[in-house]
Amino acid sequence: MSADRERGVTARELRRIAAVLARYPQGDAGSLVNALHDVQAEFRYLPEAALCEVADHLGLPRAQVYGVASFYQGFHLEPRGEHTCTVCMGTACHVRGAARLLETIERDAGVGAGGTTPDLKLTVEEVNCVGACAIGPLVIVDGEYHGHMTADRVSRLVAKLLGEGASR
Amino acid sequence: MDVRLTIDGHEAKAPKDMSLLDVVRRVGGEIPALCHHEGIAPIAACRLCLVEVRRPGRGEAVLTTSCDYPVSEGLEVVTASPRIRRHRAMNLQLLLPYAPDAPALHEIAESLGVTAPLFAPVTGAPLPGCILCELCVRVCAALGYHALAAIGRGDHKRVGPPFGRSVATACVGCGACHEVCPTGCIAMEDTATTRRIWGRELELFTCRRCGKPFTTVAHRTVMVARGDIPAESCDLCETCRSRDYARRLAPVR
Amino acid sequence: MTARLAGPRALTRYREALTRARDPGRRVVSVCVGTGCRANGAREVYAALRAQAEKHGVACEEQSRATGCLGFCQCGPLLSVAPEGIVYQHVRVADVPEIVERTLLGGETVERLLYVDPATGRPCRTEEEIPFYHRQQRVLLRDNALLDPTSIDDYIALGGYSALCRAFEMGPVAVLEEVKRSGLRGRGGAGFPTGRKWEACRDAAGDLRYVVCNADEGDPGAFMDDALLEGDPHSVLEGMIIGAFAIGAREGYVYVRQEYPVAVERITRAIDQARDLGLLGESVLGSDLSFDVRVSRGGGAFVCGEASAMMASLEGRRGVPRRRIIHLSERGLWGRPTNLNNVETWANVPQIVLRGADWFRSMGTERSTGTKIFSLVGKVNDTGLVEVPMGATLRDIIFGIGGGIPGGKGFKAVQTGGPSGGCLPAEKLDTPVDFDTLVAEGSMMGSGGMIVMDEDTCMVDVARYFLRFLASESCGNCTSCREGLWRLRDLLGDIAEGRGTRDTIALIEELADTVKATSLCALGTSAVNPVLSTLRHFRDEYLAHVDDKRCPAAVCKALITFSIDPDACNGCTLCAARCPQGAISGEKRQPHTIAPELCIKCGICRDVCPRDAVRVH
Repeated sequence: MSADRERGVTARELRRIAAVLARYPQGDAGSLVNALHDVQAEFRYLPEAALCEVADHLGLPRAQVYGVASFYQGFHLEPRGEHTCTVCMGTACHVRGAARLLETIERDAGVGAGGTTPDLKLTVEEVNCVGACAIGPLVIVDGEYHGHMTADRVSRLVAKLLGEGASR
Repeated sequence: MDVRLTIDGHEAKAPKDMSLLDVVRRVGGEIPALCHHEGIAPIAACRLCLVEVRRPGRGEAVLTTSCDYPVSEGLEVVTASPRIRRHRAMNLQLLLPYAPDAPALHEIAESLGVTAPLFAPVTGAPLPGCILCELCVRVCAALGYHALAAIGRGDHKRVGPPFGRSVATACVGCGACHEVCPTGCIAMEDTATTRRIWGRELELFTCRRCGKPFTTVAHRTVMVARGDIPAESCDLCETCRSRDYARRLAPVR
Repeated sequence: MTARLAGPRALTRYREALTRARDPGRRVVSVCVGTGCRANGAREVYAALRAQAEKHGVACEEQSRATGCLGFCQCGPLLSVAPEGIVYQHVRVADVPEIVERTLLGGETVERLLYVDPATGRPCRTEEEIPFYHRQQRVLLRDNALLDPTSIDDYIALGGYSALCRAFEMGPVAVLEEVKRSGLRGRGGAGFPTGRKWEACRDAAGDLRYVVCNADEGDPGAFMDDALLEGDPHSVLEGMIIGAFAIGAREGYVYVRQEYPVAVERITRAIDQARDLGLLGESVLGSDLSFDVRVSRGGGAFVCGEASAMMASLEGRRGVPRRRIIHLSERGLWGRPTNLNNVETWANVPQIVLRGADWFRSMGTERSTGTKIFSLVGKVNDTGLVEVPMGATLRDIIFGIGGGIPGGKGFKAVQTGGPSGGCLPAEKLDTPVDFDTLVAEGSMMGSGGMIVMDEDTCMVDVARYFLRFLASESCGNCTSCREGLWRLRDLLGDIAEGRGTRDTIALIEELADTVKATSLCALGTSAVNPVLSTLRHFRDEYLAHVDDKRCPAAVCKALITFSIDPDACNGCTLCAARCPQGAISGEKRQPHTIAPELCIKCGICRDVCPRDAVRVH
């Protein structure tokens, strides 16, 4: 095993990756996207070592696997924060003011969409519609849906996530 | 099997399914293209090789890219109508901001009568000069090195080494990407002993006979392993190898 | 685990055993836990219902169920009671004890939880009395209320998989002919005749064929496929098995959007259940058909709704569309004949086989047959999923079913067809909604998203929103799409931010023309529809932005100002306390003012003002 692959991963993590990959036949390129989802479920993002393991298992060039992982919005190539705040940017939410919510979150957290605060507390994300259009605008905090959101309420939510009083 | 077609009113013959762009160029026609290479499968990225085609029995002529259009019997091709030139010019305008100084783009601009750029040059691009034709990625993969990747998508798409690195760790320094890049944006510098490319500094291999460096040590190693160069002359540059072949011709008795 | 069913007769016996054990008169309370209701706390309501019912010694398994989407999302969490058909709206955990005691046990109605028809002021007891429902024709969504989507037994008890048995009796040729004759067209957007697609795949050369279900519902503002997969997954699966039988496919894929985790779970479970009963796998129901289905999760890319991009994704590559010189029905996934249909298309198949092409043709119009599900969202009173016969007018749907625009505001536009569709103005409200008419009007059916916009929606902002979406969703291959879309987005930004001129509009039109004419796939060629259709129908609004530097809908930030109406403000100081910029000042109990140079127009003051005193111009 080459040195670059081992960087940043422990033997235990390598075993976790191997356990996930055991679900997929070796050399089955068609499993790539699914395998990446499963590996990401373990680490909440896709570390380089994991991408290399996936590539080797499925018999794909590592550069191709990276190219694929970077193509899809569902994959994260950087570590994510302890909390995730996702703004639904679906059309129905947009016409009800989602852009304003995102701006408020970005301002309060000090990071743009797709970014994570330096203390790894919070990741801010956009999603292109989760089908809860009826209760938009919608913000999802750590998987929990908050409907009919306002800039004021989201600002309070973010303050809570960043640790009381930290945001202002 | 050959098919017959007409190109701007002139009759031509070509092997069925050959790329229309290659056919037109073969008969001396000119179609601009920045992402095409005869030896690599087309991806029709640059959208400059537009032509109008009409298939027999189908009504109107349709606008299409020619690099990925296989020729068929009875095809009528127009290579430069006002509509074609207008759309080519707009697509060129979209690429110009990335490589405002590239001669290849200027040449096309001139042929299309594009004099003033519509948009200001783009600054801060991840690879200045790159127009995302992907030829580098494709040639690198075709040669089996896979040192480069197409990364991201949409307005964030770029090409380069994978894993967010500035160095292409799998690069052997063969220089093929530098060779095929239409805008010359892939830097490759050779000193007496080393080659710099994609953030790597690779040792050069010098010809045993003439002492001239001819490729990188890493590239030569791969070529030898793949049997791309014969073992008996694997440490000779191409010129000396050719001489060697000539010398080894058995004398006629 | 149940043993595999040996044949159609074994399935019939299995169904009979199920129905014998079920008393049709028994009262069952269904809680909708579709996406909308779930987000509104429906799961908590369901848990409370189970706990409360248990307390009263009620057999929870038999008398309560969590169902998929019931459609009337606006009034969620929804709860319905069989056999009476009582519908309760906005149900909270606190309401549960009363529902259990009075309705589940006593058969009485809890009046205060009924929907009240705003037109008549009368409470509506059942679905039939609620205008939102009674103007619909629910064929595909009908069973959502009647079954637990995690139970194959529920599906079978309602007659599920009898269409498959019927298909086996008819034979593959007759099934395909019936689908052809039904006039069914693809519900994913393009509206291609399904039967012809099947035929091309069946007749293509090759030994291995695939059927694929496109469940990568990427249009923001559309969730009908999610509702079908979550609420009635077996209907989609049964459609696929019948399709595989008609086409001669051995393998199938469901490509489902990862953002729909519940849908992924439901269809995966449905496939496992079907396999256990011998409805999938070797020798389906004892027949010659061998067919199995795998679930493949999407990576999150709108462009993968495009068939060739989806296949690239299924093959482990970047979702980049490719030119289809040879049709995918002949050379698709892994180079083999492949038939791809969308979720809703597949769900129609069992109905057509069971009830016949003539029945199907009796709904809809001559060239667009059957029903279509729309997700009616945005600035409309009754948001939700709506199923109507093709050819219903936009007015029927938005005003008849959706109850019109909230807050007495005026209707401005409806956007159909997803990001690549178009916006239609009030003059077009009587347009019948079918595949061909919408295209003729510069929009399209798409997968069925219908987003209503009122006078407070800025059409420049809407166009900019779609271009922003599409610029980041472009696969990035073609120059025209990759570069053209972000340029268009920025040019629209110039207009929205007051830097635009009439030349900007001219450049937008010129650029859009090239993007449309020279991009490879449908994402690129249709991406300019939102900007072109808004320019066509709402040009005055663009001109107000460029000529007068004014946003008539008061949306574009650079062109608006926030102020406080001194007559309405009572000086409660709430806004001043919450303003992130400290831009608001004023004495207690005195009208406050906003310092325009400090204001960032975040709108928090307007959100918190108890007296609606914040004005936006």
